Amino acid sequence: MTQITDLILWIVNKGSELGGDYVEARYQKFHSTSIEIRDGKVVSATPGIEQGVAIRVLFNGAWGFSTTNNIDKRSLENALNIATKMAKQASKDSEKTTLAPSNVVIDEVKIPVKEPLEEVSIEEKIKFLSKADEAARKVSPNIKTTSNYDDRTEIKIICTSDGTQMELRNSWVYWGMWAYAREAGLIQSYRDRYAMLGGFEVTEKMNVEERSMEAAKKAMELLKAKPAPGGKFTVVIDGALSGLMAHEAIGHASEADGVLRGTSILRGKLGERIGSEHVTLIDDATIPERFGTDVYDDEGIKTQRKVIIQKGVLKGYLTNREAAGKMNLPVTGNARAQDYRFPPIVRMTNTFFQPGDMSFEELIEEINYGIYAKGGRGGQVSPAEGIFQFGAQEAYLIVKGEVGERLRDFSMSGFILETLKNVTGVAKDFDIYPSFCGKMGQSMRTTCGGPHMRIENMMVGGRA
Amino acid sequence: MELIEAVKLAVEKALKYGASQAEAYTTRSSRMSIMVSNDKVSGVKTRVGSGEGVEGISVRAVFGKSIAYSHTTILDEANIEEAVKTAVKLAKIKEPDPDFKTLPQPRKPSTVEGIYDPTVENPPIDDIFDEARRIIGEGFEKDPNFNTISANFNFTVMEKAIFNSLGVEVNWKESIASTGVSILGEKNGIRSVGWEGEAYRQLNKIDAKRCLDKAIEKAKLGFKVAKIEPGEKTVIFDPDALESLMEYAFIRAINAYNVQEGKSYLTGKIGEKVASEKLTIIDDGTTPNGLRTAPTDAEGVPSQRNLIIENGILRGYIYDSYTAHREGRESTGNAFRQFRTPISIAPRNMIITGEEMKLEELISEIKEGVLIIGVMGAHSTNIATGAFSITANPSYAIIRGELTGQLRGCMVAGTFKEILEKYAAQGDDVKQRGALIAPSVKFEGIRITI
Repeated sequence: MTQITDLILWIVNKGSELGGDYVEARYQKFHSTSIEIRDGKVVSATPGIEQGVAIRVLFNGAWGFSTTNNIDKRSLENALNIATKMAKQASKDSEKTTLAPSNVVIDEVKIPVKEPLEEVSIEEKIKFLSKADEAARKVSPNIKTTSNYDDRTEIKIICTSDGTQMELRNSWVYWGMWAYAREAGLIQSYRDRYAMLGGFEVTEKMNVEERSMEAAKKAMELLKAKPAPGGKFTVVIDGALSGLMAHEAIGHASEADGVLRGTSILRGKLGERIGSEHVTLIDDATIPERFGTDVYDDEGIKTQRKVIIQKGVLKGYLTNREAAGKMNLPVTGNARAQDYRFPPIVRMTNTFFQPGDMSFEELIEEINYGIYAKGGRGGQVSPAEGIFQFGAQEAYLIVKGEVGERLRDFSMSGFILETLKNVTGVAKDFDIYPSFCGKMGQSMRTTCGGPHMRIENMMVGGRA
Repeated sequence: MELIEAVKLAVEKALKYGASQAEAYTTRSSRMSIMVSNDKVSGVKTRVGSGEGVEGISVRAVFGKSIAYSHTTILDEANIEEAVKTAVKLAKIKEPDPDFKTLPQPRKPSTVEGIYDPTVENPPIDDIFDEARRIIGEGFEKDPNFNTISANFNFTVMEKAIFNSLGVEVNWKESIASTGVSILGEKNGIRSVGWEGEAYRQLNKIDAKRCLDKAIEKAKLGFKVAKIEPGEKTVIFDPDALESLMEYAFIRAINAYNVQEGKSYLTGKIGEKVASEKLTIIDDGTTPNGLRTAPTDAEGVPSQRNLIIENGILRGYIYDSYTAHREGRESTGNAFRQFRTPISIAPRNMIITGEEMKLEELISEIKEGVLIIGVMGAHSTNIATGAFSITANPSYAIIRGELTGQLRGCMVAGTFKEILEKYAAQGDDVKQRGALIAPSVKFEGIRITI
């Protein structure tokens, strides 16, 4: 890799010579495998190799960015020229920006890997996925499946004009599945997924056969569910859903690039109470093996554990160097890019609500008429307006403190600044799920989690 | 390496390594984008300009009845050879797929108009930055309550080449220019957003000023909060909102693969009435200037016009060659791929036609209803049943024919099957968003929760 590091250093120096106040180049090469099995049939098993370089130039407060997947001096110089030209043209009416200071780091990081993914044959990976797919279909002849396996091994080299220079080697495995249950013209689906950083050895810890079976059973059970009612309810959500809420309702709004640009409802709220005392929210990029973990972010900043909300009070934002510099905040190491095609932007890593001390029974015992919702089906937020939405996979009515009838096909919606204040109980359990989060066209590996939570006055969109 | 050379080389090598059939698909794209944003409250100005050049090749190798893919972004002989070797090796070990018949046979590509504008290749970046600044300045003058305004522009040129061992050989260039303006404001504690975007094949068709005007209109409307009772209402989806919902709730249901696997609520419904008799939906890969128009689809099958729903009757689904051969019919030219992913099925330009009237009339005859311009949560739709539960945001109340203000926390739940039946009429504000070419569309008797 030294040859490439030299090339990357060379282009960074060239960028400084052209007048860039800050220049950063990031090389990435990755090998990926993507397998899809539908109803036992391997529909695709696709290996791929990609490489490219991202160049970012700051000139008088404006950014120029460029990317290429041709790794030679001429192509890199061309990319640098585009980025520099863009930054200069963009900077006509901007003011000089000072990035928050960072330590100059020279480092090499390799995450621990026992079985390197590139040494495992694709047949073995197919076998791993097939077994899980089969486990689901054994549950009932009425089950259809789509199972996915994705992995990636990656080398990343980051060099900046501040002198930071690092080589990062990473690898991860992702598994996901959809189970479809059919009976008498009805179709219901349930999905599950799991992902970890590491080599192929992590597949042993992922329990995918058990998870597949469970997903198939849930899909079958959903056939018996009734459409959910619509309106305002007291809801209890499980860890998968509280994780989605951690991510959608508050995580995105705490990203400082949006705060800086004026597109987050949390601007000006540092130190203010925005949730009930039950709400403590953490973003932690340092947990071993978790899907959102990284040692350094894509600006070469060491990642860390951050408290966003402590007992209802907003304690911090997630930052990159630009936002931290402009807002006079600590740099938290949350600048992440999907790959060499994208500039780093502020992203979450592993984001979760802290558990409390209640039992599940205590959470529901005083609810006269409410909803117990489980399992995430994706969410969305508009941080500017402060409204969020997330889908649940399964749910039950709660009547007089008891879990009752099954429900389906609904989602929940709320306003960030109201919902967190309506959290009236947090259980002591905890669950966390991987997900690919989308923001500004970039998909990023993250996890989100939390305990069971009780929320009053939640808007439920059902059709009954 | 020229793209056509790369695909020919890949196919030649695949046959050499023992593939019985082979196909290669490659793309080279270059993209320039600029984003300018001013925030009045903090005085922060964000300016970003970026340029991107990405290329890649995907190889599909066939061995008997087994198919395998591989891809690389490194377009030199050694790396293409490596990718080919991997795909052929994989095809040899994969279990045969009895449903696979053959790669597409060569047919004459369709003649299409208006998909490439050379000026998109070298946009006048300097002028465009100036225009973005001007637009933003003008926006701030229109209302003292506007806090943040941003404008963006994107210019993409893409070259594609497809070659297969049966004689399919096609390559073309296409371009897309797009712009969008977004406004965020706050008045009396009420936050409001206004956004408008547009995309065309030609650079001179995009108009940021037009986007600004529409964004201003929406942002101002949102400064008032309106109230409406929950229940069954007349609802208008604007083209953006309709596209978001249809992507998950309809387009997947007409995908032949989902239909064949019984994962669609439209399975077995050909010839049956599935929608209001006023509604006709056509998917057309040849629409002049269409954003999804091209001489062929992603496996070299000529683009064509396909009837999906005709006066409420379901007439067809969309197919690639694999799903078409499963039914012993011809592909409809709907194969889609990026070099990183295997072939999937996607609509081309999906056109909605029906009872058309002026947008103002469409709104003015509603006593009590909702105009939805954005939806949240469409991706959690149950694709098999079309059941969805979305947050209509932004959305506005319509009272006695007038837009009266934004609705906060308005949710819509139902199935797309019902939505199709409840089609009433459509406006004249046609635009293309993604695959969808449609105006605002009115549906009657949609249940809302608020």
